[in-house]
Amino acid sequence: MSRRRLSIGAWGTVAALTAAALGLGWHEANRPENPTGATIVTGGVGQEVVAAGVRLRVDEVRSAPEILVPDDDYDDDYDDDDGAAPPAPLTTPGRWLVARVAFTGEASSGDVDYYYWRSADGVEYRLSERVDRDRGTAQPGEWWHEDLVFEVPPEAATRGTLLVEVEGVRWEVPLQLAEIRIDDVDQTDRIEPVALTPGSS
Amino acid sequence: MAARRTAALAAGSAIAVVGLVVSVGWGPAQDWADTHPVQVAAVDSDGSATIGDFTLRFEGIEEISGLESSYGDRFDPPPGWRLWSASFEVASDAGEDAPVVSTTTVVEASDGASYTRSDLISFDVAPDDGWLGDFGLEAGSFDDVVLLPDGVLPERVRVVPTLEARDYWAFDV
Repeated sequence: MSRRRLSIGAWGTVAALTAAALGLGWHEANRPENPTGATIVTGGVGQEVVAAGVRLRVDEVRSAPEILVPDDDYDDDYDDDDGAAPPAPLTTPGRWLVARVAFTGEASSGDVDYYYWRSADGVEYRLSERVDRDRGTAQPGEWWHEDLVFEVPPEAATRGTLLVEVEGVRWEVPLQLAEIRIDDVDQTDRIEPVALTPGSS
Repeated sequence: MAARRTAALAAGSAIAVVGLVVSVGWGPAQDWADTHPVQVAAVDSDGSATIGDFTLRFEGIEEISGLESSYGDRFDPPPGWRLWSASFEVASDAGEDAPVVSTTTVVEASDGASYTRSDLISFDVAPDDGWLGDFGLEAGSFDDVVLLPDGVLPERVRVVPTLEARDYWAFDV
């Protein structure tokens, strides 16, 4: 019995199918989770920038070894006042970095999804999870203020860049991000961060 | 014989390729088809509009002085702002197992901006059944409120499902 050999066409079909399978598999495995092609809006302290429909301003950036936060262990059953927990000190092995920001919607309501601190040597830090943060949406013309709290090494607490990713724009193209450069962080002994509050401007 | 074998091979190849494409692309294609194109629901002569199982009728929008809950909590608009309340009548054909459709009320105003309910308005002053679409659309009468700057008037009211890129309701004021 003679062995039949596959024709060139058959081999070509097998090769094409294999290539298609491998190509689709590679595409699925390497599909980017996050959009690329962002445009960057830059600014400095005190300067209003508009990114993805949110107008934002960094008013000041301070650093301290200790911050005052509401005391989680406070038992308000024994309080004669309104039950508000007195502030308690919170320390860190590095430095606390507190950025005071104000934001408002530009032509529609807006919110900031993520803030990051990028140190001078390019390392990025998320907000500290040891400090609670309220999220809020600002209407056009309605300003909200808050202190953002990061924990960073001492060498990252002198200057850097605040990166801002606005809510709800992750899948729009082009993505707009804001980068606020801070060349001189105020060094102090203690900071009491202010929670999200409305303001006039 | 060889021709039949070739034809069988070709058919099998085609099926394999289609199977590959479908298995990889079905999910993303379904997601895209479910959310495109985004269209506004047509408003009938009685002022109602229907999307899926829900029919909304816009009853109107008016300026109000403030909000007060059944527990006595009160909200007054801050200086420079006026409070507007939009009313809706919702009819539903959704079954018990139907997915929840939460919505956001958006007011397009005369200053060219769009406003949603402000975070200054806490849940303490919300109606007992909630604002429109907060807990998912359901049959009944519902309101929603927005703050507009002094001198700015509402021009159009949109009710937008909170899921991205879904058909929405829109009513002229």
